[in-house]
Amino acid sequence: MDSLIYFVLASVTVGGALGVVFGRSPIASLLFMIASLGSTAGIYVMLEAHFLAAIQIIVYAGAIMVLFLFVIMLLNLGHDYKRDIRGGLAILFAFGVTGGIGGLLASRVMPEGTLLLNSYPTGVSIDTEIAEKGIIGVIAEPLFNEYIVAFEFTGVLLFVAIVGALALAKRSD
Amino acid sequence: MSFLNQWNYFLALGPQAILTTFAIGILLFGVSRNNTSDEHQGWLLGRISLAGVIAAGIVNAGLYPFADRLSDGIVAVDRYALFSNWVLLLGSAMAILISISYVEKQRIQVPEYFALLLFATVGLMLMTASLDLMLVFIGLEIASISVYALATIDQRSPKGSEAGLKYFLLGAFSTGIFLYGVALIYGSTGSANLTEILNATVDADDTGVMLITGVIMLAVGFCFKVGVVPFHMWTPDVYQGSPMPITGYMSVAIKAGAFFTFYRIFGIYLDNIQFSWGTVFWWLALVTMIGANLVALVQNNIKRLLAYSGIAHSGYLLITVLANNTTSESGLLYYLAVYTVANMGLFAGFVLVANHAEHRVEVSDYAGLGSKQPFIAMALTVFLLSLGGFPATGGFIGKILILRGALEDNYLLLAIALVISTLISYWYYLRLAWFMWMKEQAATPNTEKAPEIEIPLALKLVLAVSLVLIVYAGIFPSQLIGFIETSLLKG
Amino acid sequence: MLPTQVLFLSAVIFVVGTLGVIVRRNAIIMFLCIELQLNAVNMAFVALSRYVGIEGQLFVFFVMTVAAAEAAVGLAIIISIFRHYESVITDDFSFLRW
Repeated sequence: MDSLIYFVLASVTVGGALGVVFGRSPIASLLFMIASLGSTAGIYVMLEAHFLAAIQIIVYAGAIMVLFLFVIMLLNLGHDYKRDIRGGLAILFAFGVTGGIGGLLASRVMPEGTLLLNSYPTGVSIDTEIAEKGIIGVIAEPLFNEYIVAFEFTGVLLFVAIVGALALAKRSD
Repeated sequence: MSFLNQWNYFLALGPQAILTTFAIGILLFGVSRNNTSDEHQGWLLGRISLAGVIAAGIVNAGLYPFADRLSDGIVAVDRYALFSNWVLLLGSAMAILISISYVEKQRIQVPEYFALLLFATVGLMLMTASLDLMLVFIGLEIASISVYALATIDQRSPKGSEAGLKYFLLGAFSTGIFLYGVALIYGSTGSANLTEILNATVDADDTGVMLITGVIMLAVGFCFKVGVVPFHMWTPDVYQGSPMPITGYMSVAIKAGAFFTFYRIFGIYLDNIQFSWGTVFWWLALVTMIGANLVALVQNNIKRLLAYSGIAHSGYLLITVLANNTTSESGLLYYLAVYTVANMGLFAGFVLVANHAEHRVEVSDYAGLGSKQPFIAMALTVFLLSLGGFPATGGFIGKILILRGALEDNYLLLAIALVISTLISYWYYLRLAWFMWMKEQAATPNTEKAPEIEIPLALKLVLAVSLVLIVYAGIFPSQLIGFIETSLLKG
Repeated sequence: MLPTQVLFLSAVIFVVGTLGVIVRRNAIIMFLCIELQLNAVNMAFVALSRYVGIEGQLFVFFVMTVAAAEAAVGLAIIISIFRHYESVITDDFSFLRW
């Protein structure tokens, strides 16, 4: 049963991703993207990352994609059904590059035996930790201890983004 | 001292915290003044941000007693990080001084401009001081996002928008590759913390292919940021289209920050698995040195010329990452310090000749500068010679150190390529100098006569300081080398 | 074994995203494909956190934050270029040669 659900979610994810790349208009690509992100959230649930699944839906598929949608609507790009996929040499180059990366990743990530460094003890299960502290607690603990600096500088990062976006979107007089 | 007490983090990241405070202060100040027509806003806010950089410098000097005692956790406060802070602060101080007249003349939104410049420096300083790949990534993103916005900030310039878009798309693309590398490294070593990665890779062999893939993707992400040849295609366009002080900042601070981090990650913490990235870097360094210098020969736009020259310098610096012994590490630090000063001084001269705008950027526009503005022309010539590595300038000592480092680790072919490509580079550096001193300006009727250049105090300061530093570093290098040798990671 | 399959899936998504960045000319879709890459990274982190500990899920937070920040600035840049050229197709504004 699990593998069937996984198969459906994975096909929607990949199909959505392909839809983004070959979508006819920006709006179509965006909707495919949301489908892909949504089924990714389903995969997160299957990996026991429930909190991230919620965040994925609310923040990623919700807020960020709405920002994209808003810009597409603002610029009125929805009517433009002109295909803008490059042809000829660019396509060859693209398939060369992605084939290279894909081959590299597939040959080196996939086989079970070579997944992890030999010296690393495999099979650390985070399930007991999750059961003990709850899914949010287990993320919050390193976030506010070990990675507190990263957390605080994330605030700086968001502030920079706000300042930058305001500086660019403000119409010059 | 440990990081259990979170106040220690504020101490350790003091320079970054000070700069962040000043940047927020500048924004608040700009909002509260509310009269955009104020002509001297640039000068005022420029002075405030300069004060911020100086305050950060004072805090940085005050951190030396704590250095090496604050190095657990994910932030390093070693003398290497403090040295890189000096270089980055110097670069951004010069960028601020160059910008003051430029932003006033181009009517760029001054508070945002200076605040983003300071934020970019914060990000770079965070990146060089971090011992965790995730923190490196966040620092890199703070710097990149600030610079994306800065490249686009001139609202009336189509070229600026285009440069910003290109920089943004390729920067975000490289971020994706970088992050996938981080994910694979995390998966294969069990941590994103560099110290733990170092421990996990002690007896790694070439069967840990996931780790190797991750390391190579990480390297590709970095190579995009510093512009190494197969990944350099955005550099000339972005340099050409961005506002000139920002081009200077990009070519200096981003490159310096990225290389300081590059060396920390690859030279020190991934040293155990050099078999995985060594060959890749060898080829990248070779192709970058030769290719960039050859393409630079045919450039007529000075910003594109400097872009290709910067790419070539990335190639030279890759050799130091590859041959990581103490000599080549001091070569890296020395070279980056001198390159920062020389390149920033060069951009100060360019901004002056362009009269704080974006015209007069062709090599031929520099004809006759020597007879009209001997001081500027002399300074520019010295900076060009330093970039080329002429004896008695700082660049010469830097190149000698890199060469010695390469020979100590038996990278003979790369050393030869370095010498050859340096000789090639003299052609385009000296061509610009030749235009300045030997050519008279062509008196064609349709080109307007070049306006009289008056040098503002800020730019006079930049030119004079860089000139003194370059010549001093070239003639009396022992003091700087001595200081650098106390700042090494290996040692 | 599920995490391995997810890791493979993330590699596939990453490659599709890379393909999209290269073949499309529309700046917004190129940016969407970059988001696709970041999503693949997140997937890899979550899958790997099953093996090596909870930090992987933590990193997903940071990546999402960065994605949001990039989206804000990137879309502002796209709006800024649309003001100049009335287009977001990258071939329409080759004022700077590549």
